[in-house]
Amino acid sequence: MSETGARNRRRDLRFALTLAVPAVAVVVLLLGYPMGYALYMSTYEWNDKLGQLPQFVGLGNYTAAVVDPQVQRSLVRTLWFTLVTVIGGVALAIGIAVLLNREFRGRTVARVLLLVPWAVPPVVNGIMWKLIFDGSSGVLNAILLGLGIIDTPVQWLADPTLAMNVLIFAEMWKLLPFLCLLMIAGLQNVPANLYRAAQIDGASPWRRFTRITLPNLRPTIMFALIVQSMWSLKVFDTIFVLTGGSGGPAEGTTTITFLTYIVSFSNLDRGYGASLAVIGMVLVLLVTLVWLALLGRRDRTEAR
Amino acid sequence: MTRRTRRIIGMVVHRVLVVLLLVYLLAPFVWMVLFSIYPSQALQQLTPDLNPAQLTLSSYARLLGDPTFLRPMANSAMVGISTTIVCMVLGTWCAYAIARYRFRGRNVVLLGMLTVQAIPVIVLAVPLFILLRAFGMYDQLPGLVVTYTAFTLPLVVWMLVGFFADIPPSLERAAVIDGCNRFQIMTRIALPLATPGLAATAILAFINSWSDFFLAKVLTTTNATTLPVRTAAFQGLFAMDYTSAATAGVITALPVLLLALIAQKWIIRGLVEGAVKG
Amino acid sequence: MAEIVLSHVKKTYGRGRRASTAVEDLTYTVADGDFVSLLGPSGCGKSTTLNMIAGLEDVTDGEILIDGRRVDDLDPDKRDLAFVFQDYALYPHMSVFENIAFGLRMRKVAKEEITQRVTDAAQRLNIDSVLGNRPRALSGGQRQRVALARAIARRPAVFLFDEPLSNLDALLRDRTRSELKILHADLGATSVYVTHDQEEAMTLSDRIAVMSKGHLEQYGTPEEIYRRPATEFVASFVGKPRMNLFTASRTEQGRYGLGDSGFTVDLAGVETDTIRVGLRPEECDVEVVDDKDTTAHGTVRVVEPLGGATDVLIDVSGELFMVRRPGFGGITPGQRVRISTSRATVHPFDPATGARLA
Repeated sequence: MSETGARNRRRDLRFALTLAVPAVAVVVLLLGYPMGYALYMSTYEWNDKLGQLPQFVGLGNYTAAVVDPQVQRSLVRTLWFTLVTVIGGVALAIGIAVLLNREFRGRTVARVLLLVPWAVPPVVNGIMWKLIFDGSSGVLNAILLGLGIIDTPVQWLADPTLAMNVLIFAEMWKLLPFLCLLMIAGLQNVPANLYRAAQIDGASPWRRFTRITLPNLRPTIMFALIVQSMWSLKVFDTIFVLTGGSGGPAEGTTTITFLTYIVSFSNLDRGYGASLAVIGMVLVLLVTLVWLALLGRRDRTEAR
Repeated sequence: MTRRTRRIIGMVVHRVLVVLLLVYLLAPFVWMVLFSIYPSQALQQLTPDLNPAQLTLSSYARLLGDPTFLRPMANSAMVGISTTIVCMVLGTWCAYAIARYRFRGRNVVLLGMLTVQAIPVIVLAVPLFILLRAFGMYDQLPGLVVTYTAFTLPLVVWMLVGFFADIPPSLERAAVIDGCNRFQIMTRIALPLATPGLAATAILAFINSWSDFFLAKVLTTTNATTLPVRTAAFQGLFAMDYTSAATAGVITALPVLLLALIAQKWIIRGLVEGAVKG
Repeated sequence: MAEIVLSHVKKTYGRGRRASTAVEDLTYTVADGDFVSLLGPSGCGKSTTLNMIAGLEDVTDGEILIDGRRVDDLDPDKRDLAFVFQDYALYPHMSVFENIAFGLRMRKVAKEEITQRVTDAAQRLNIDSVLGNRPRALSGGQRQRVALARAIARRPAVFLFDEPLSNLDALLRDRTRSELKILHADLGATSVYVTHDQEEAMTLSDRIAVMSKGHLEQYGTPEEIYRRPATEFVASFVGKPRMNLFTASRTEQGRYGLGDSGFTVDLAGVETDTIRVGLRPEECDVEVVDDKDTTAHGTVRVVEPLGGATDVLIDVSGELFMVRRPGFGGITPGQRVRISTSRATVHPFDPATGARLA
């Protein structure tokens, strides 16, 4: 074995590690350490409002959370919100991607304009939709009243169910662009010849969609489902602005994330809040596993 | 129905759907812009009174002259730029090492950069709050920069690895033959060739930093507060002041919107390609 | 004086059980000023060998000497060589001038000298008109010449080429091949050239190193390789059309025959019972005989007219034997024929090792 070889390899290693270590150190220290600390905190009865010394309770916070009706309702709401935004979002994204996949004048412009909802900061998203849906001065009510569809203003944000629907609508607007871009890229990976062969074989457009497009999109769809599930769970800013920081009428839009915020920063119940945060993370993991199980590698008999 | 007729109908339907889509994408934002430049009574009717004579930028003048608004704006800008610089420097190094060198733990680091992006911010909020307070960085701009860097680095590294990997290895071998050492290969060949990707990633990092609300709210109060937090405060005064809220919204959104539109081609490529390779 | 000596050079990848040998015990010398091709199919180790000479890969065992100095311990830029890559490896963000000058700049050559050398090289290759352009504005042939100019401007002791013509279309390839030959005649520098195209190797080289699966099969001049291939592999790889190779067994008359066809060849000095025989299609003749003629060797299967010659594929006892006869036509499929090897060189090979027997 030549000496230069070994010396080069050592120099390579030193170079690579010098480059990589700073970033890794930052991430581990500032994300990893707090993560561990959060887990640690969640095993303590720790409430800054009550001002006592934190008490170790092991899994006490978790058992309390699981039977807490407020937590349970919040989890149900979160699941509902996530499922609707994820499945609805992915489905709509596929549709829009198909729409934008055809050649037409201005297609590039349309694809660029797709970025607008993505780029708008979440806080502004909340403000925008509040302007539209506000009960007393929102434009939607103005339009509906004027057209005679309703005769009294609908209190979109004051009713728990309606508020949740508004939230879903608002978030859907923001999350569609990225999913559409994913789907467009996925569509472009389907070889055009498959469609032509199918056309000659006499397949209808719908058939071509279900037998060629969808199966070939499967990995992209799975990725989108998983990633969007993670993001739907993170939603916070929009809820805050739409509901004035309250989490909605009768907690109508209080997802587990928002509940964690209230518990940790309004009630100052740090230990319990930490456990809720961990529960939220476990939820993400579970949802991901469900998607993987449902759509994981199956027999590849379709698509040809 | 002839084939031709069917095709024409299909085309018309398609165009109509596209137009509806564009309206859906742009209308909410456009509406907010209108709200910021027209008096609110003019807009709160079925047929809004869009008489240009009523156009006014007074709301903007008012906000931009208000120190309690300007301060957070400046904070956001400074934090955004600082975060972007730090992330790009550290991230470029790390991504280049991952893309071009084999070292023990390389795959772990790459996978790690991907998975930490899945950690919900809420989990880390309280520990970070405690951590920053312990270091005297609570409600301080450096505290925000450090926090944002930690959250943005994984994304930056993930995207840059893809861009560096796109460079043909033969170019770097040619550089070796031409006499470049490792550092020179990175600075003279890899970085110049990855410039579009670097720019897009930097813009993405800035957008992330500028747009953040939750961490800023939790980790600052009066001194280091940022624009999104200040903008969100308008919703407390909502019943009276839609115009200000809309104006604040537009001011908050405009910079990142412009940046995104400028870098759109490369942002899309970086985001989507990262996903496809994942 | 830039003679390259490879001495028991070996390259393995991986460790322990998963180790694989790319190059096995290579020993030969490239004489100063010679143009040597490394010829072989993909995976034979030729590119690996080139990379080891260049220093882009380490030598697992053995030595490489350039000009009498041991170089396998040196970094590539200290070995005084230039490399022309298959995909040209032109820096896209630099102009053509900058691309050619880059290596000189890194070696701290004086500015005036750089300009001088770059313009010289560019003029020699007819690309001085595009010196200001970026690579993406150039055609494939022009890019290839920039890659060559970059190598020439360095004035190295050794030139290394890694399949530089394979990305060009056929017409351009032939033309550039001739230019390369003229260039070598002008510059006279030691060159090592990797290719899988035996025609390229034959036309360009002073010597050819034929490799297969990491081994050196034969190292010799094009004539030696063509006239006396040292192994069956070399025989089958070099020469167009491909040499006929078949298994033959000893007959009572002391000749070797293909199956029961009656087609036999005479091999003096070979005694084994079964051998592999090689015959070049263009050295054999074929003669049509009557259908009932029992001295016929086989039946014509396919006739491929090429213009100045015709390739005839004959079924000889189940094997397809090709004869190239001059002229157009005169033979049709189905006819019974007799094959004559009077003016052909018969190449005998050991069936087990592939080595030449006589």
